[in-house]
Amino acid sequence: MIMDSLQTSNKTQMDIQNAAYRQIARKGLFSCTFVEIADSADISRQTLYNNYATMEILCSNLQNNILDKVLKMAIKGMESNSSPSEQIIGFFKSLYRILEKDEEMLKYLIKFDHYLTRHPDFLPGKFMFKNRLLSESPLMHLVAQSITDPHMTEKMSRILIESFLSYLERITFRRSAFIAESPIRFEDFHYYLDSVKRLLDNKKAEMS
Amino acid sequence: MNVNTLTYNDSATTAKRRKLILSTAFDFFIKKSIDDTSIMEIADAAGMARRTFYNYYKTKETIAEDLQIICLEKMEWYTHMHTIVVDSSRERLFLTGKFLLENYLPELQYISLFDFYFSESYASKEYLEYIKKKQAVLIKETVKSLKIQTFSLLSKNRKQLTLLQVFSGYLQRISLRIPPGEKCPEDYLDELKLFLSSML
Repeated sequence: MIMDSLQTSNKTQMDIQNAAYRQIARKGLFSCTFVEIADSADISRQTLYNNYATMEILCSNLQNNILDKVLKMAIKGMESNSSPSEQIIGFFKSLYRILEKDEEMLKYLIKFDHYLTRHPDFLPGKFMFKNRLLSESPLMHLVAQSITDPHMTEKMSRILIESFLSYLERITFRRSAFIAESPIRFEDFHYYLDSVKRLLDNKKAEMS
Repeated sequence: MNVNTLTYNDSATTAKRRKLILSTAFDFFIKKSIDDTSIMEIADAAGMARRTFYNYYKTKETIAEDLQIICLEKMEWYTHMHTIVVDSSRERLFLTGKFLLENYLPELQYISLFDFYFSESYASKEYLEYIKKKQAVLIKETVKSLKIQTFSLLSKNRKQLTLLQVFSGYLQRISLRIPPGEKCPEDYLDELKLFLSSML
């Protein structure tokens, strides 16, 4: 879905990025090879090398494209609510709705982040989903407005992002297996949002 | 490493060798992740011929499943939570998290890596059976014993379960931020405390 609307300079690059995206979502970056990506894009290895000389260049292009798109969609989907804390909830809801509809994207983002956590030399940290959320989403700005303590802003924003991602990870990995009797469902998300609201309210009350 | 948890019918010598394979694999998996470790590396480091090695394990996935069962058994974190005598469920969860990060960091890291590796579906039927029998019951008991004050009386257990899951996911995320072999920094415990204040 998100991949359908990616903009690249030509069709071949679009096909390559699509193929890389599918492979990463399915297998993770650990076991993804250039040959498989070329095969999946139905092009020769030489053509792949002509467009992207290394895996790093291909992945950074792909990741940049996807994160730009996801963040723009999430911000666009935010409702203009009254208070900053409501807007924070709105941002998470909006982001969640995008990923809920596109499970492949959810898997891709989580697997990519995981790879970068274990292999920090592969690409700089700015390519991580969580870091991009911190630096380019309206979250930091909204948290700063919500709790009015400059020392806490970054810490709180990071915790909100980490807990959001840990919720997504649980959905992705353990939904069907870990607790067989009580599988985690997407609709449980509002429980998580309750806790975000509580965190912000508590902090605000503590400050004032 | 306690291999008795596993259901192999091993003699003393075989059990000793299996233990050696598992502890060698564990070190590799933590340092390099499951994906990047090969059977050959494990066999070489354990000082075994590949042929002998295959008598014990045919795939690294089977080793990973056995290690996961051992780690879950070893941590027994749900059980540990019951032994903490404090009134507040937030404090109880914090002490549990602190206890795990300080005492069972490699196991936590391993469980996180296992999740990532088998993210599509959980591997063996044996592992799933183990989880169903053991963990599901313990989680239920834990949720009950936490006595979390919920905002809504409806679907109380579902909410508790979700929060418990987010909590364990958060612990795993913290554990993966710490480089293998290092201790958990104080900062991370403060962060955990703040995070828990949102949940309970």
